Amino acid sequence: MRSFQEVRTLRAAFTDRREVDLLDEPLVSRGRLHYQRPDRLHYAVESPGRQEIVVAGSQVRVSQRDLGRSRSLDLQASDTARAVVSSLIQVLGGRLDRLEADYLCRSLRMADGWEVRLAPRGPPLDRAVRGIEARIAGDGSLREVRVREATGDSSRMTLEDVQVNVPFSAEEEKAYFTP
Amino acid sequence: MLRLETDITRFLPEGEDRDRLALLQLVRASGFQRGLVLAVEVPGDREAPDEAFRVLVAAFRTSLEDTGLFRHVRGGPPEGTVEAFREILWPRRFALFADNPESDVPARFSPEGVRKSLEALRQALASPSGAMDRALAPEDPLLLSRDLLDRLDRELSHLSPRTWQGQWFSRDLRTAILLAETEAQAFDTIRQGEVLDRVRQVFGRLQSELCPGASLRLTGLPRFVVESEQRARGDITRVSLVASAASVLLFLLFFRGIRHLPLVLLPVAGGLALATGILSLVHGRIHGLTLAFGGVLIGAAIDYPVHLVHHLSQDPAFRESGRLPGPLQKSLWAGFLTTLSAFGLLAFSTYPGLREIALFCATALSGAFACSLAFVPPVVRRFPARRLPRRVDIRLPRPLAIPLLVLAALPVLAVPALRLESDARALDDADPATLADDAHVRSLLPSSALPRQVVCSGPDVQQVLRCNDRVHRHLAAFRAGNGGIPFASLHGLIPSEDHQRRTLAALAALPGSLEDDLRGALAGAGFRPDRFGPFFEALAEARGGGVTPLLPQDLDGTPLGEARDGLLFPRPDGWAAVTLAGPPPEATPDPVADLAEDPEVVVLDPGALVSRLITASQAQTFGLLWAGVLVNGIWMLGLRGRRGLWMLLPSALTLASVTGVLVLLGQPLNFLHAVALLLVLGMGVDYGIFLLDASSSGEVSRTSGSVLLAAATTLASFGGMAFARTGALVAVGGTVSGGLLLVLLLTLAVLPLAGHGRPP
Repeated sequence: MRSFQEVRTLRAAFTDRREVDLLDEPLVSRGRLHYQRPDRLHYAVESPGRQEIVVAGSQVRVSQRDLGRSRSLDLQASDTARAVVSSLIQVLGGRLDRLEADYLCRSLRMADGWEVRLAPRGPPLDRAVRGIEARIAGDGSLREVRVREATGDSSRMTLEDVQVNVPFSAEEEKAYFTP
Repeated sequence: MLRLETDITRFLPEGEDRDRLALLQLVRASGFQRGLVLAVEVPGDREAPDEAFRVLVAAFRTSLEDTGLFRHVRGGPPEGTVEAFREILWPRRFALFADNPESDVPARFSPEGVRKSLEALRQALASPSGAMDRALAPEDPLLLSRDLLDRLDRELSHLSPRTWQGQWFSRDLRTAILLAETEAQAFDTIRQGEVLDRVRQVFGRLQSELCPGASLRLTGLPRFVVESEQRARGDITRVSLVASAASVLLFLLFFRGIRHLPLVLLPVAGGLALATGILSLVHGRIHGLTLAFGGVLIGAAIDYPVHLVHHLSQDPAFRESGRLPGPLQKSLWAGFLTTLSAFGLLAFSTYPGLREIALFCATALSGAFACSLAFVPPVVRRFPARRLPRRVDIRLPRPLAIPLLVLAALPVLAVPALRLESDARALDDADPATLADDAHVRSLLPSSALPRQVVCSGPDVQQVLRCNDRVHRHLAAFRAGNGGIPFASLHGLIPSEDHQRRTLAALAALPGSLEDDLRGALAGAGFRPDRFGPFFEALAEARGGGVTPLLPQDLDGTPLGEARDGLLFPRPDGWAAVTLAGPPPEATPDPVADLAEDPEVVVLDPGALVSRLITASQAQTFGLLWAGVLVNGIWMLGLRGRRGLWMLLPSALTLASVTGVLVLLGQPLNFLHAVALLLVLGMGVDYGIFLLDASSSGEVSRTSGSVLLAAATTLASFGGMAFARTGALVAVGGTVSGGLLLVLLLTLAVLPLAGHGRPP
């Protein structure tokens, strides 16, 4: 768990499987993500369709390359959005110390590693999220994040090819984290 | 109570363009008329705004609000925008989503349109950023919310600076931006002065406490108005003091005593008091530039009593009979009327400010002249001077006359190369630091990229919104193709009621099978149609006529109302809606140019408009100048025959010569030069009248002293304008002083040619 809590950078391929009540079948998307402590995230969906989400502090840029759309947002404008995005980033960085302010956190020892369960302490998070579970491998690397949303929908993001604490070059920083 | 005015637009000519400027000021009234833009810069040694800087900006904003001097101080987007969207716009989404109802609605609900929308929804739901789309999806599977938000973003994002952590910033995040609207009117200089002092004081205190090194730059109409008034007051004081002191000193020098000093000053004071009273009755206010001219008039108005005192003190016949000598009376009247005619011509100017100066000066001179005739002769007779005035013979020897005239005529050759000023900035006399702050701070605002304003006007708000729809459709068509320009339009927030009804009608006209077709499309795309009940209910309501269009007043008291107020505002005769447009494209036709043909549309380009306003009537002012030469020529010819033309020659030649010198100096001429030269003509021709009249009656040696004194006081007064900080006054002062000096020299040169030179 200590190495999980000392993540400074993270690179991984992901597969995200979303169960949405509006749809007959789950939605599955694949791509790569990059994280840099304390608050930078690059989330690039490669299929189906191409989409890129860049978070730097409270600034967010969402680009849908296939649709030629790009929007910039400031998370300060929405308490809920800020809390949700911030939660995901803190999970990727293993910042349990920060998460405890907004969630009841429980760490469980599993056969192949650890599981961290987060339950929102109250508004505004509980209006968007029912719970988050993060599965951590024995070497401390994050393997899976499950989110149960207030709408009843849920998602499971599985990480592969995880590289932890490999510094980003200046070019990579610019390419990944410019909102 | 007479009010001092500093609004420089009084010196803009009247006409259609002036009406446009008034409209422009109304547009500004919605945002900047009382507004200050405060730009707080991150300390130079920091790369980005840190916590200390954020605390400083927040404390600065709160402290300013607490002063009670501001209606509001904004530092970021208003709170509650999302709620206002949900409560006001969202229920009317079916009326608002289309730009072109007759084509957009069928396209959006066509099988292909629906397929694309559902595909986009699937993508949105697959994304962690799709929380809002997910929340609205049961009501909005076709993502009409995106259309609304995109359009709001596209049309109105130019109006707000970049938002970072809830605070407005410049693009580079180096400068936090606050927009403050004062309680006081922009032209209430006393209260606005307090506001500016308080802002700087509050920032200075907080900056040293919370974030040393941070700096403040501010701009806005109040700053310009306050500084302009301070400059005008300072100029009035300086110019009046210099003129008064110089006149008194010169008087003492010539008359070698103070016995008649009050007598000379009384008509001047009487004339100025009369002019101020008349202006007070006519306008109820007086412009700073007019008062500054008033200060200078001391030097011109003092001429009449000086002549009288100078002549009468040396005239034994007058002391005997008490009757004013006929030739002196004729000279005084001719001199007075020629000066008056110059100001009288200014009354035909299209610049209201010049007409005010003309009224003030003509009244002051008339008052001074009347007082001089009424009081000076009896007092001089009863209390004769103890010592005779200095006798000065300033006539030139004949051999000097021709070379001097030739020398003065040489610059005239350059006159054909004369250029009129076409850039209003050349006349801008604001403090360079203030102008630099203004340019810098405005460049931080995104609206600075949209300098032109397309204004729809009309008596009825819906008529204005329909016109605004047309403007939007035209500019959007260019944006869709090549050659578009950026613009911000109210259409993104409030299309006209007619536009919305057409959208609803187009929706109602879609086939009756629409709902079934949509259910089929949802199922085909992998969605569960039964989860979209709210959408089908809202669609049926809209198609059944249950949706009322959005009206401007529906946004009252909401954050969206603020966006509306920036672009839609009442006018005295109705309403106006503004579209902000970028500059014309370089290589393609300007889409804004076509809009000028619409009778309800006015296109305003503030920079070009002000330049055109200031420079458009310059030719007319120069026309007045030459009319002055003509009128004086006819007048002189009628009064004095051929001698009259000799009287006029020095002034006419001076006008051409000074113009030539300015051309040789590479200076484009503006209307202020024309005014200055008109004054040279009006006052300078007096020298010719006095000297040539005196010479014909053999009294040149006596008169030349008084002419020299009159010229010296006038020169000292206009020379005093060199101490002014208002560029316009310095320009007028320099031209008039130089011109009058030349007129005097040329008059002396003309004397021997007219047969009255200094004996060899």
